[in-house]
Amino acid sequence: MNIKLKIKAGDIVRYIFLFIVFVVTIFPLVWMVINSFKNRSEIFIGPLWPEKFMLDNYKFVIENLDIGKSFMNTTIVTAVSIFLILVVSVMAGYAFAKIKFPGRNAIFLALIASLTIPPQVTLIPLFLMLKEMSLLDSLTGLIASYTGLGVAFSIFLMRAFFVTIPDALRESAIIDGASEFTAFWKVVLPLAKPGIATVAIFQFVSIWNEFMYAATFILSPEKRTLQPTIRSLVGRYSTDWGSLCAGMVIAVIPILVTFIILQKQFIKGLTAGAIKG
Amino acid sequence: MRKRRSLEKSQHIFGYLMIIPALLFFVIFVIYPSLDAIGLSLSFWHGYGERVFVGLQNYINLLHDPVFWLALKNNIIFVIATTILQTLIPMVLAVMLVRNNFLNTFFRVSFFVPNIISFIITGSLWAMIFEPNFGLLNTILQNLGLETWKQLWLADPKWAFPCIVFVSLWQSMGFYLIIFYAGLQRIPDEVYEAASVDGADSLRRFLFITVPLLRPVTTVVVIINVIGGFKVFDLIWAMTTGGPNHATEVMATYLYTLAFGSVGTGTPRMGYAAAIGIMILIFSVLASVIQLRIREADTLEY
Amino acid sequence: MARKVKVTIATLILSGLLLVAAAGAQEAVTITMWTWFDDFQTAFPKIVDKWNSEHPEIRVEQQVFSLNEYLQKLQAAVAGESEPDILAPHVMVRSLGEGGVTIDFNEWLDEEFLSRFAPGTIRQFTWDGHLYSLPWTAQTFGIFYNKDIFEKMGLNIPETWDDLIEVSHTIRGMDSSIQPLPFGNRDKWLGCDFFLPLITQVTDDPTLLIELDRRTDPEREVSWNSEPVIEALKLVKKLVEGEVFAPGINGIANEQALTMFYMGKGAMFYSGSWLPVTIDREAPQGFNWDVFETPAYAPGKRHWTGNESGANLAVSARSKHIEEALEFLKFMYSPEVYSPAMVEARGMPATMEALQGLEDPAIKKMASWLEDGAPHILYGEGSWDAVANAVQGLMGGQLTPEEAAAQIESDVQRVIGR
Repeated sequence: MNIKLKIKAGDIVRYIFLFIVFVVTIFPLVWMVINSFKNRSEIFIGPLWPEKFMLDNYKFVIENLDIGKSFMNTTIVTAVSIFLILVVSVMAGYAFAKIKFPGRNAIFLALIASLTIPPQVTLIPLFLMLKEMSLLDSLTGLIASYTGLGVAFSIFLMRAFFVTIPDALRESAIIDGASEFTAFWKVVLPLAKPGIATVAIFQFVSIWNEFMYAATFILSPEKRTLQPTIRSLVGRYSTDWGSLCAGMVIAVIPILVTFIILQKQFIKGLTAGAIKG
Repeated sequence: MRKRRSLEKSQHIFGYLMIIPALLFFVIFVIYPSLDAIGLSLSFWHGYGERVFVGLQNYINLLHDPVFWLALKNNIIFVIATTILQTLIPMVLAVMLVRNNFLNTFFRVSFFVPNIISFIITGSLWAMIFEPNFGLLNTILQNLGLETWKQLWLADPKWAFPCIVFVSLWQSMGFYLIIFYAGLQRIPDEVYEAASVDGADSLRRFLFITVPLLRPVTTVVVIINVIGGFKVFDLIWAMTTGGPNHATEVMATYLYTLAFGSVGTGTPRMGYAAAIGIMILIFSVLASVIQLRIREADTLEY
Repeated sequence: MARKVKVTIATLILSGLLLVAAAGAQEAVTITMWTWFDDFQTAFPKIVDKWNSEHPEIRVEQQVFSLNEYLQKLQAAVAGESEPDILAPHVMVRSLGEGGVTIDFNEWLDEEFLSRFAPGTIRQFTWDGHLYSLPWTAQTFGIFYNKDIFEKMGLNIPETWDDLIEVSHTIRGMDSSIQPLPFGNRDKWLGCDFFLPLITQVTDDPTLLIELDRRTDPEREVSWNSEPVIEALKLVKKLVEGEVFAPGINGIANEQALTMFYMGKGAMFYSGSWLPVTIDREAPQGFNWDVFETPAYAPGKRHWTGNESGANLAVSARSKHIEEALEFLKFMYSPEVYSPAMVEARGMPATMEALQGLEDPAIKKMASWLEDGAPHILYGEGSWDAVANAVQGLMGGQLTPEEAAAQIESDVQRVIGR
């Protein structure tokens, strides 16, 4: 009897703690959502719960900011970048994990080292380079930059996943007469789904939220992406907080939805495909 | 023998073919601009006109720049604080949420949500919350009768940095939690069962089984934290732009001010800014290498 | 077969003719303009449309960006030598001008055109006889106040800073939930704008600040670490200690302080002539406000106030269409175009003619203070950063006036020496 009670008490304490963390984590976001429905003057002063919910902020953002176009642009850039990053990183990650070739360690170290480069430093050089390649003010240029930026970390993650898949799988496939590529494509790759999902989620979040390159490399209004558009609501003299919150909510929903969907896959993959021992 | 040699060779070729596409992007869009940045750090350039080669002059100036040293100190404090907090807390949370039931999944997903929000939004949001007169935090404290706990938060040099560290934790906790969670999946249940039979309680199980088995994951998390801590920019910029009076200045915010001017600095000093960028890189690399050396006897193969 | 050949030859000849015609035809010139003047977001497209309809050979395209991304974009464009034909150099006026990126208007515009501008505004952008920018709007600062609060509490308009401190005490005494003067210095610039004209108030000599910033006169020794500067800093400290401002000044963003003002939680607000249009847009209905002159240092002294314009326009020296760009600029400044735009954006004009024709009471009142205008925008190497940081430190209580002054001078010296 006593032991059962003890367990229950421990569990309760645990869940209370988790609940507190949950409230602190979620509350600011809830506040942001509530604010998006409020009149701008009610946001700082006035009760937490708005007098009346109004959709004006959303209307303003959608109509005045042409947020639909920015949304489209960001979607295109993000989708294509993720696709490219996945293709090249999965291939490279596999190679670093399973294939021996001279210089493997050195190149991998160089990739890791590049993670320390702060993006502000490469901003202007990259801008100048894109200009020379006539890729300035183009979604293509932005996609190429994001791909370059994302491969190091993605390769790192993919390699880590591939490492946990036993070498035996590849080796037995090769002994059975398969080519290296078939071993990769048919045998090992299917097991790396959780890795791919993980890389996809992380890249989605960083590219969707990226501001600096997007603001600097894109000049024409019809090619603008989401973050600079929303940031434009933060004015020098005043900020339309209500609309800013509305814009932020709009910017956040796609990632939230994608994450929730992908997350299920990811967990499924982890627990189903996990190789114990 | 020849067959083996050519088998090896074809393996090499396959390896190179697999990495070339990634390397192509990497070299063109990361390495080349970085080399250019290094070149920039060795010159004076205003962003227009000539680049004047000056050798190590920028670096020498850096060594004499009190703002740089202050920024470096802030970075180091930030790195230590965030690395400790953003490694331990997610690890503990991951262990608490390791079982795969609905409630746990719900918590795991919700804790990740802040990570999805861009820094700009996070910074603006928390700046609103910390606002001394009508921000959410002080208002709540007031309503709870805890008036004496009210602070100036971001305006107070004592509190500005802790607030920023807190927000960083808030935002990245879920991210590291998921990494630890994935790592925990790799630990077989049998290990825990055996420990239970031996009579070990939760705390001991955690300390003597879980933590050591999580070593490789912990190493990764620590490195990412360290690098991120030296590079940190967006969050601080959005919340305080490095103020008040440099209280929250870090190398990256100082870099940005020099290159683009917060509101105006007269002539931009791109070369000097680039030199600071290189310093960030050097420190991150140093810190990571030291960290790895400490963990040399580890399962992470290179 | 023959028919096909004939058709092909005919098509080729036709295409050839068309090509020749196209090559011979005049190419339309396109001029680009980038600014960050968000008050003119609706006025500018109208101006551009009017021009484009009247001038098919010179097409103008303009964009108004938000300031927080504008400088970055501009610098990137300048680095890539692809800046727009007409740009708003903001505080980079001097550096871009001296670097040869923007033109010297003295070489391209005649005296007649330049004399139309309010005199101080031209001086602001002139270095060594070179004029690098044209003022788009003029500006003065004042203290906006909530008329209802003042009436209810029976307050008088303060004449001097000491009067202001008294008024603040009265306000606090009568209603502790109202801040006398909410001030948001989180982004540093307002503190700078507030402090710098005070130096002129102390000395009655506007040239001192110009010299402190520019250091061009070899005969004159100036240093930030000097009596007038320290006196001005002491005044700021006195105001802070007199609880004029809301607490936590460095943690409050300007717009947060502004919200306090709108919501009746702040009695006064220090700001520039860009504020009326913002109030129109954002304040709740029935917000009853007016503006009074910046208080003076002592009774009877001049009410020096900041009067430098931040919204200015330059032309790229590397543009292929400088003449056309200048034509468009002159069009923008022509009375039929300029005045309506100023009225729509509720901006303070920079041309004498538009100033005289002002009808908007608030702007008119603020424009009358242009004569007591003192410099407050710094262009010198490292000056602005040095002052902004020191003022933040002083206002936050981390630095004494003497320390702040010393810090400014040493920061500036360090940058100059680099």
